[in-house]
Amino acid sequence: MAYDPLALFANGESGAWYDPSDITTLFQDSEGTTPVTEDGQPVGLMLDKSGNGNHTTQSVSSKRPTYRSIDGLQWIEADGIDDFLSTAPVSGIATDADGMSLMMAVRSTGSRAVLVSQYDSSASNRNFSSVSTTQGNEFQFSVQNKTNFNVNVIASSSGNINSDSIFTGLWFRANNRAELTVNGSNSSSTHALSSVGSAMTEDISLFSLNNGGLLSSGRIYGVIIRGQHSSDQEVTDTEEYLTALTVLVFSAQIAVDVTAPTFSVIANNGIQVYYYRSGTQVITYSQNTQIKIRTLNTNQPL
Amino acid sequence: MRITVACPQQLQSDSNQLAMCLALSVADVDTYKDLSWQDADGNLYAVASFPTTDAWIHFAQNPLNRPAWDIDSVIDMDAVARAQNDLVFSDTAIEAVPNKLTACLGDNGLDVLLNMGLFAIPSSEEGI
Repeated sequence: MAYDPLALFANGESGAWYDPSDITTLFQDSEGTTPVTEDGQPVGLMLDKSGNGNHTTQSVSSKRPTYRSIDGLQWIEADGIDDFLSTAPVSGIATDADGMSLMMAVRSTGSRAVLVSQYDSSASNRNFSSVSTTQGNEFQFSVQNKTNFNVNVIASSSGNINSDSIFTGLWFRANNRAELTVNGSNSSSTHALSSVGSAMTEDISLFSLNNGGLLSSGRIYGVIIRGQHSSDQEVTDTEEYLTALTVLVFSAQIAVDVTAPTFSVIANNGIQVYYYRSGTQVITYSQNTQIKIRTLNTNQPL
Repeated sequence: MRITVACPQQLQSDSNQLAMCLALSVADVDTYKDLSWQDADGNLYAVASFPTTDAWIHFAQNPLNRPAWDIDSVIDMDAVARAQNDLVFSDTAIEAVPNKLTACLGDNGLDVLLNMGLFAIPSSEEGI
């Protein structure tokens, strides 16, 4: 049975799940009266699929991200100038008791990596963010207290501009540990983060820190914010789910003449070609690469 | 087609009235909210960028009536007229000036703003 991210919220975990590939969750206006129906339309409301009711909105017309549906993939896109979405105030996601997870499939297209945050600039509260505000094009999963910047738990990953990124940020309060994995590259850090401030109630923002205080351009294919640190299996399942949102998957059978066992494939720009044998990924090619695959054993079909 | 608009500080109030008149609700009074961009002389601007159509551009440059949604007469139509008089459209990025509401076409809004001679002012959240 296909994995359903709703399982991450089955025990009443706080958070949100945003899924632009499910067009029934998208509306052009913030009141939810005009559904999104086609590529290029504004998104004024995106429903939360976690069951927590943390729907994200933008009431100002010019500040609404754009729904894109191209070649079988769907995402929402922000211009980095004024576009963002935010929820109503939500009780603090990163709590001492449960930690938190931020998992998302995104593409950054500007000088600042795609921002997802819950942030309070005025109080000594617990914030989280997906981006370093000092190294804008770098993903950084941080959980911190605003008024004492020495008590951060930060893990960073080099920037991935103009390519799709699978971001997994995990925070564990028990050992003051933050972990960030971007496209399989892992980093972590530890620090004695103060336990105060976990009662923050603030908006969750997409493409923004602090409701437009900082903005980022790019694509969001899917975002899962969970008030619980996730298990290895949950991370694996969710990363596979998120990856599928960024890749057009199709299958094909290629007949090969075993007496002349060669064939070639032209992978046009942006197309990735995968070859699986017995469930194992053998070859991946992309970006204008001409590939030739030849059987090593003519008795064994490709 | 995308349009990017630079609203100078002195035209902010009137421009937000125009934004409401061209858009969908009273919430659009916050279209030009944050003066977070500046030109080389230090003049401040609020900016907006959004997909548009030829029909919308034509609509924005012709006499406007109070929109049907504004049953409470929230919009100051005199301010709308003043903002329209200050509105300049261009098919390419042109220099933003502090006495015009400058609207330029271009697929990448950030590039358009750069070519309009505007620079983002670092936010108070930068560097935390």
